[in-house]
Amino acid sequence: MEGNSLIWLTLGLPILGFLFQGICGRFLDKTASGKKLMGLLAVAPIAIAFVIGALITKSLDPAKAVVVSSIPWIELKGLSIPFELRIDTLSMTMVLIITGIGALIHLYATGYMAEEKDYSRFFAYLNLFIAAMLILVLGNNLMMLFIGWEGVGLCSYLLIGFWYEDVANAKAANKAFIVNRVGDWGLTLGLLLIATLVATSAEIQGETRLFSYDVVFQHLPKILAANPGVATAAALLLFVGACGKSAQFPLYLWLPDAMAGPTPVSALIHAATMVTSGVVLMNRMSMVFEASAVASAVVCAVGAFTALFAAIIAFGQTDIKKVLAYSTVSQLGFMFVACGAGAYWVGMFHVTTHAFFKALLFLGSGAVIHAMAHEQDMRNYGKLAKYLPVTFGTMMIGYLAIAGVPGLSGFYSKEEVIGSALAGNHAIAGALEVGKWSGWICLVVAALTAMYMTRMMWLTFFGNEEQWRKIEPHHAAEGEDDHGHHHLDATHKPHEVPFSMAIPLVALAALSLLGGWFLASGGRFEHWLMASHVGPLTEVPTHPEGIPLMALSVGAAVLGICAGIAVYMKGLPAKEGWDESKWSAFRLRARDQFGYDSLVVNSVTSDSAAFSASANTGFDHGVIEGLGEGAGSATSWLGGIFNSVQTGLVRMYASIMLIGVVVLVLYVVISSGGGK
Amino acid sequence: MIPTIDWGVIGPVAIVAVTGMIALIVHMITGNSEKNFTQKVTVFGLLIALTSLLAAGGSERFVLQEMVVMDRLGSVGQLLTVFSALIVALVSPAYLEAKRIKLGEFYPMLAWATVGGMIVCCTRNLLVLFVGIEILSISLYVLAGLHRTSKKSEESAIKYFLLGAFATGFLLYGIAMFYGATGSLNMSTLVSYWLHGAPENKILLSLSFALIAVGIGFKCSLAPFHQWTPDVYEGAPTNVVAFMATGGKVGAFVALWNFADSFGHAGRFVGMTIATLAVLSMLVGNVLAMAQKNIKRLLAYSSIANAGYVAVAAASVAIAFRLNHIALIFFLFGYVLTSLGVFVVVLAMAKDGEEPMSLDDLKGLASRSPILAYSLVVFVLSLIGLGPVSGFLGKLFILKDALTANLAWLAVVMVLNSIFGAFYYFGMLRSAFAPAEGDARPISLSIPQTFSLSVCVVGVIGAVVFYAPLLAHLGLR
Amino acid sequence: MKITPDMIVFAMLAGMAALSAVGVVAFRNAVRSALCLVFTFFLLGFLYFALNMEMLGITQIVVYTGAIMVLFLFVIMLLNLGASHVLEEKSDPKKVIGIGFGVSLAVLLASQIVPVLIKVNAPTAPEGFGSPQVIGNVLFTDYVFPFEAVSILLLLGIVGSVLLAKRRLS
Repeated sequence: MEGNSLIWLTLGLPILGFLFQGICGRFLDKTASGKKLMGLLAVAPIAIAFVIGALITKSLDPAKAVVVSSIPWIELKGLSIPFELRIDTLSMTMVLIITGIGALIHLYATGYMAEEKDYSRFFAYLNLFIAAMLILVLGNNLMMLFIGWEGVGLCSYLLIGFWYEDVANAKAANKAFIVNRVGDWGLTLGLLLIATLVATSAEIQGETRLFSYDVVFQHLPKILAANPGVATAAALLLFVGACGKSAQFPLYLWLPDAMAGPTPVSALIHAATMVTSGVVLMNRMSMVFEASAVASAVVCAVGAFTALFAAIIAFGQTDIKKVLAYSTVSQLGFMFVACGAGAYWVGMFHVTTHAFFKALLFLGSGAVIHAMAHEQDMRNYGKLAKYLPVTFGTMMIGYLAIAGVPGLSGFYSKEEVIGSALAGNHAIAGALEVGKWSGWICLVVAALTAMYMTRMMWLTFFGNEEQWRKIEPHHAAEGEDDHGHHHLDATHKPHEVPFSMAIPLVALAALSLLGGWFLASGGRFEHWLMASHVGPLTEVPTHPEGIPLMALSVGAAVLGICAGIAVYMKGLPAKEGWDESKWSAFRLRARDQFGYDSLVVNSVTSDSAAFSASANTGFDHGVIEGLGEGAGSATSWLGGIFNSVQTGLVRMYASIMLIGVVVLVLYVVISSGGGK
Repeated sequence: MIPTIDWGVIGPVAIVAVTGMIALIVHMITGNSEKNFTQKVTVFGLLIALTSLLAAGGSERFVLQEMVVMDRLGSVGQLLTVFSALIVALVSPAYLEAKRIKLGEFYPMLAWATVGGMIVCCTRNLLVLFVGIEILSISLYVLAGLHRTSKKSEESAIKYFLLGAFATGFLLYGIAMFYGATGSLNMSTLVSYWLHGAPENKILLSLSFALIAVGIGFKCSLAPFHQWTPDVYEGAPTNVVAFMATGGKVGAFVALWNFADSFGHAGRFVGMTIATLAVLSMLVGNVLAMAQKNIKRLLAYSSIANAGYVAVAAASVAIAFRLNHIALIFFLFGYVLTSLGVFVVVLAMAKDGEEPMSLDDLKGLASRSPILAYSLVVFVLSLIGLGPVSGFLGKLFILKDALTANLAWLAVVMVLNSIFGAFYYFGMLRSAFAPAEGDARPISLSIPQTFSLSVCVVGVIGAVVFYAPLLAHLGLR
Repeated sequence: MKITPDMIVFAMLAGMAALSAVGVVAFRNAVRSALCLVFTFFLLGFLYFALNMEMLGITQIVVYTGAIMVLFLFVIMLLNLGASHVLEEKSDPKKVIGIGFGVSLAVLLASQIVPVLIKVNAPTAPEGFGSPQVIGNVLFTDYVFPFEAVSILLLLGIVGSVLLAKRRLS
């Protein structure tokens, strides 16, 4: 193998890792040294894949997309779908993010999950996830994208429910699964619609690879230009798919609950990589969105609304991971605003920098949770900076990056997002300049982001007192729960992360610090990624005329940070404390997502009477509680039936029937004379 | 090329199918409202279908390569299926109310069951036959389990389903063999393959006959594939049973007849096999019915016996082919009207979640509601096959067919069995005219119940009185 | 009858399919049974491929293996059928009858069919056989009536299962 064929190795290594972890893992991970070995064998394939990916990227000509060796897969008359990989700047960007950050998070997880008894199962899923994600981004046809799409969904489901003995986790996993079905429905229809459109004109050339990008890209623009209505339909269908996976309103519901999974999973899947696949899809199929201004306007509007909505909800959260989850939803909204505005590369830019700093923040929060005996409520933290210097230092960088402080990675990408939205003239529905409005909303959200992140940082690392000191000490006998973890109480002493967890934190901090500057300087990322776009991409300006963008975005960040410090300087305000009766009505509503989640969940599970009442109820009737009750009664129902059936009557009847059949056949065989 | 569609033939089926869909939507919108729009929509749709069927009666047509065969038997079968669905839909609200089954989905399911029966009536294509039988069966499985709070109802549903699936397996296997031998799914292709085919094909075809006979025999509840019948009849809600025993059976009977007609060319063994099944069914049905105390079980065994009579007709046509449909048409006419009538009587007696279960519950009927009691007399006479009512005429024609086919012994068995039948049918009358025990309140009949009852009574008697004009209208003679 | 590579492939696929079909009824554990069924369906899909029916094969795998059986597994897991010992029973003479007559039926049919099948020449499929176009054409022309009838069947199945599963507590 040479050159670009090596890409198969990038894909194959995680699969090998998965197979090894899955087959041999459970025999080896019983001892500490065995776990170390398995951990190493989980990290190594991803790291090597990263190195290979980097080598290929280095020798890649940005202007040329390479399709690597296709292996026949589905061959029908008039349709063939091969296994083929596409190497271009978009796919390689994602490969580097996935394997690079993936390797760091794997490394982190070897430390984080050290006490876990299902050690190798975890890494098997994680490696499988990497493989599926690589298929998603590397595949050269829509069907491979779909396989990857479903594969990452499966891994996400398995990993959210990793601690499946816990009902809440199983519920969250099911919720993610069910909500994603809605998105997948849109994606499937979109893919089929595109293939159908392409079929007619591709057939003339005798081309049967209807799903392959090169074929699609060649034929689609003309068709879409001729049928704007169809373009809008296709774009919106794809966007429904993107909304599901990338947690946009109204399908964002699953992502906050998905944080029930282990923290490395949250960092890798639910912040850095999988949730951005919607953005990748929009980049890949940008020509479809190019052809429809209306659909782009919808994308912009949904993105901006999600960004704002999630940012407000984040203020109502006290669980550190929930804050980060809503922050992720909000940041994904930014990416969609950029894509909707027509600046697809800006969306990818934000994907990249977000992958750096959000993975960092999640891993940092994991370190905090690890240090605080698995307590996730920020109201129990405070003044942790002195106990966890490394975590604090690195998270501080991540925090400044997401807040948009100049010089750090988040600043560059966020400024481009807002700039392209304000300057762009692509997302226009009728006379309404949706793009511009989204830009202004994003600016507000940027300030809000800075503020709620300040809140999170302050409650965790600063403040006046160490809140957990107020917790009554547990008795020795109750000091450990089923998992063997200590409970958090006043005697607890936070401990800094081990070395294996510190390396990824430092590496990601360095990326968050310098990555943005490196990629943005001289338009490096823009020129690199623009080459991937084969469609008739209009040059979208990223700096609006007559608006002091730089001043505005810096102002928003500074304003948000200052406001945050002003409010939270003295530790937790009483109106956000343990006593929730003192909370303001708005904050309470924000915590409950303004009733949206329970509304949806109830309308799906209960009948119409509960639906009208559900706006006022909380999480009482979860999807699975409903299902569980149904299943319980169904079981007793079935049991009842089988009890009465098990008198043997049905068997008796069936036996008699069988005897009848045998006699009948015998009679016919004899009397028909065997056909003579 | 999209085939041109003869809506005169497909129309009634389509109307009923769409009626079911509309009824479902109406039910979704209105729910279980007082006005019961779902039932009204269903009745209305069935009426339209009935009218279109009556209007369409013209020439015999083969449509879509024999997938739909609109012959006399088929159109009468469809007519009777729709008619029984209509009567059941008319009398159901009162019964469902009395049994507190608040499920308006009953009506769309009933409509679709009717669609299944109608499809089965009018085809000689095994694929269509299979699909039709499945539509009919699956809706009946569900309907049998409609009474959710009753263990018996659920038990009957699951028993029916398990055994039905078992039988379907044989049916499908038989169809596959038929296709393997002929490369076609049309039963009428059998003739040429049997006459000119290789011996190997004949083996496959005779096996396919045996296996398909099992599948259709199950639907007709021919012995020894009848065991589900009493249990399901006993457990399922009575209005569902009323349809199962009439509209649900018509399709199966017509299919059995068509099947025998087509496969008869294969040789005498076809007719003899069916004749054997007929004898078994008549014996099992009539003998076991005598031992029953439960009304619904009794009616179940009665329907097994009646399936035996139909099998006699089928055996005759298999042996002496080119027999007329007329015997089966008259038999079905009498059977459907009579059975419907008996069920309407039983349904009308349901009150406050209770319904007559044993023969003793019929006691006092004559004083409680003379109309019901005297209607029951007419129906019982028809079931026995006595006097100037339609049941008599149907049996007479079948006997005549059997004699034409040189099956005198079968005719004798059939006559003997009819005499057995008289015992238990008279048992019903004896109870009905005995003095009341327990509840002696008069039974008031609603308008739909009265209407249904009178239609059945008039039909049962009228079939004999207007025998000649009826035949002329059907174009038979 | 000559043994060709095709036949060996067929025999392997069919044999494994039959074996796993036995597994469906033989396993006490419902999940295992369901997985056996998945495997059976999967192999049947391959049998279709072997018969040049790619379309049917893919449909088989997507619809049965992919969708329906996943649903089965979900239901089985949700029902949480519990320990399989609940389903154990004392030895039942009907079992012997069932097995005995089942086997005799199989032997009876095989004794009739096998000699026939041995003489059959393997037909070759015409060009384009089993492709989506051909199937689509046939479905929407010659077989449009049963096709529409099946759509009613499916609708009925959906409504029926909802009807049976729904619980009215009032």
